[in-house]
Amino acid sequence: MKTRKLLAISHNARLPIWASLICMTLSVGAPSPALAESKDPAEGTIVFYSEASGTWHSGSPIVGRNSVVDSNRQNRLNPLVIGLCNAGAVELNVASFASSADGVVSLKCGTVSDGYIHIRNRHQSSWEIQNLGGLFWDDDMVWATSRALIAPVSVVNRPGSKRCYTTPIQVFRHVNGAIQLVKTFNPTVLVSTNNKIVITSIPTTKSSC
Amino acid sequence: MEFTFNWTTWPFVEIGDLEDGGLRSRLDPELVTDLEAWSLFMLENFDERTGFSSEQAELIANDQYQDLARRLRAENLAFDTCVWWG
Repeated sequence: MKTRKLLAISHNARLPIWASLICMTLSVGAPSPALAESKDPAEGTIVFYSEASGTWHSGSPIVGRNSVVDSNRQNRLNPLVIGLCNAGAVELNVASFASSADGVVSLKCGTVSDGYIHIRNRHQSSWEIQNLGGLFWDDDMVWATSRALIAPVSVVNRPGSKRCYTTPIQVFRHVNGAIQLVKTFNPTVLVSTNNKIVITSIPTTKSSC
Repeated sequence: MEFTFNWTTWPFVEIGDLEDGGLRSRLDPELVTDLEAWSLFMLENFDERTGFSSEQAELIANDQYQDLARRLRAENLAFDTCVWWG
């Protein structure tokens, strides 16, 4: 298992959001709770990293998501939307993503065959294993899906108007002020190219594209 | 482990340590080829919203699925089946 010392400089280089926070702190003259959190993430906090897009993600936010706008970060999924998914709102949008080959694609509530409902029915337990028991498997799924779509290392055309995307996602854990690389997985994300929707997102160790 | 259609080219989700090559390396190569071919058949003939392209395609897909499950059992693989597309 690799151990990397948590250095603010290297984080800042990859995470412009932190620089914004520092500027905000200087302008108001006092550290915000969000920045305090960013200096000392809780022991055991799980962090995802996408090398292909140079972006980080934490299931337990290192920075306050309500105080910072960053197109590379996904806000948490809206529980009301998920409630409407549960009520059968098939076409309701759960999240939208920019993709490298299909423009903007949507994750809809969907059905047993596609979208959020399909992913939850079929792959929630796998996502919970890959995020090491983090609280919000679906936030992590949405973020990893967004990375595969915007910064794929591979895009493969598939029969039936489908396209498959993947990118490596590294999983780190904060331990004693350092971050340890726990593992890398390569989510398999399938898009319907004619309907512009995400059909599925699976946290495969090796891509099944 | 579940044998099912995952919208991919492999009908299993493998998320553990695959340094041993994963399930592919433990199965008969001909069976691996047929599992991949079935997955591609499903991709080509099953639409996420409209279902199978024809009744014949549905029959072929389901017959092949049962046959592949039988061959997997013959290899002493422990797995569950799931026909969520049915």
